[in-house]
Amino acid sequence: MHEGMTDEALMLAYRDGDAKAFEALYSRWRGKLYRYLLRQCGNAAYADELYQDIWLKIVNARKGYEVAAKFSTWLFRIAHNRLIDHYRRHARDAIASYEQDEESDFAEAAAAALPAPASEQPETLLERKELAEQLVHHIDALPAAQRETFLLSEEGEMTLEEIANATGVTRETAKSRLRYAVGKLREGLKEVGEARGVR
Amino acid sequence: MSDRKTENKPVNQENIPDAALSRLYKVAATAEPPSALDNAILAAARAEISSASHRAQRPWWQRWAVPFTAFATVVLTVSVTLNVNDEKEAREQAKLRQEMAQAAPQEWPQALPADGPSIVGSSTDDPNMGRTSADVSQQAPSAPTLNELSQPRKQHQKLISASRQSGTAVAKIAEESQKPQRALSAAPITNSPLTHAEPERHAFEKSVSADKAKQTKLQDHATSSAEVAARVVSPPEPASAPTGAPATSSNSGYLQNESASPSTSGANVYSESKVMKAPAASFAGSGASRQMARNSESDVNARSKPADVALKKESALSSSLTEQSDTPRSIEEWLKDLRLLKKQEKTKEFQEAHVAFKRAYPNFKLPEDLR
Repeated sequence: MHEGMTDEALMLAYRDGDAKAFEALYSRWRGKLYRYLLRQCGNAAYADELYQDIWLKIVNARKGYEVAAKFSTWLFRIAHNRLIDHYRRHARDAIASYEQDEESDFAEAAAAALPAPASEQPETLLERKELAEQLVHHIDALPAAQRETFLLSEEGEMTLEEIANATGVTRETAKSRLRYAVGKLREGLKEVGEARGVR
Repeated sequence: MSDRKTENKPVNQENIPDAALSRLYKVAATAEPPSALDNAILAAARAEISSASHRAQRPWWQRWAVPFTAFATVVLTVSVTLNVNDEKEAREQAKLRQEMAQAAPQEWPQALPADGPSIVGSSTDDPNMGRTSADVSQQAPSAPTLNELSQPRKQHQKLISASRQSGTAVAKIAEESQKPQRALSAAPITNSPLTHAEPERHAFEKSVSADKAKQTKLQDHATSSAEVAARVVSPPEPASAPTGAPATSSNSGYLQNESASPSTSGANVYSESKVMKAPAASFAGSGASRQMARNSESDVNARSKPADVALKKESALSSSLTEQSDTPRSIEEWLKDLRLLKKQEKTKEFQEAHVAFKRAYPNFKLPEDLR
């Protein structure tokens, strides 16, 4: 019954007293939100704490919910703000990546040197799994801002405008962050592929 | 296959995000939240709905019970406080009225004129309010009564009159008896003046008795001296003789007069009287001694002959005129002597007497027959 409903419709239904609608909505976004927080915090305990806080905020905001933006944007906006609070308490160095000017030459250069996408050759399942682990390793190595942008793009399935809206930056900043993140990840995977080629 | 994500994303030249990366990422993204978290969140979501529905299902009187109770409590508290204040004010006013009613009747008797006897005071602070002065004086236990104070004074007056009749010594004694009385009257009236006055009165009584004894002694002396003067009776002497007599002798006159000639017997008589006067003068005042001298003189004159009386008078007169006696003579005596001298046509003596009288009484205007 709730499968064809949009995220916004489910939330409205929950506002009107439909607990099942919230369950459907929760099932859609529970994994994505958790992974987003896990990649950002780097610690499962912190990720659990932040995850619960965010969803309780969603529940408490039930009565006053109005469709002003996409549910995903609204959800990840709450998550971003909660994450910033976490950084301020536990990881102040992570905030520096947010304050860095995303329109720097470094970002443009990184974008310019973006390697071409790898050809889609069937790798073995094992190889794919090892590459994925390497990818996750490189994602963790990204700066917080670029990482978040990449994750919002991947987990939140958000456009640049939505990412900009959720993080409180301009579209160009969001674009630069994403470009830098993608370039770094491609560079890392290229090195892994070359190393295999050597083998 | 094109997944939903790539279809929704705009196409860009940078190929960001990268499809291969996305697929690769999906292989790695397998982490899931713990079930405990899921259960907690879902329970919270359901609880939120159930509480809201519960609030919505309660009847209106249940929903308004708490605010109404709070409002009623406030109203009751305020009303009780106001009532208590009102009652307090009413009590205070009633109390004031009661006090005024009690005070007002008590003030009326005080406004009435004080015609009758003393009015007993009320519960005011002034104990003497409404009382007359007599009552106050009578009720004052500390002050001695007038009778008590006047008793020694009455005795003193009796003594004075007795001394005047008897002689100068008694008068002197009476004067001395006044000293303790003056001390008694001058002393401040304390709470127990009688206790202070009693020893004074005892002392005064003792002095009075002693004075009485002295008085009897002096009376005896006076009678004996009068007898002595009566024994010494001499023939009449010329008028000039008394002038040669010493004028200033007083205390030493007795010895001189003993060796005097018979021609000066009149002076001796007078000097005898002067001798009598001298010891008396040490006791009494001026008036009493003069009286005593006159009495002794009159006694002496009563025993001698009438012819001798005239001579003796002359000698006494001359000696008194020329001599400055301790006691001044009265105006009547002066006038009498002056008239006598004028009648006898003794101009010189009259002038001398006139000068002496003027010296004694300069302001007195002589009658025309003596001018």
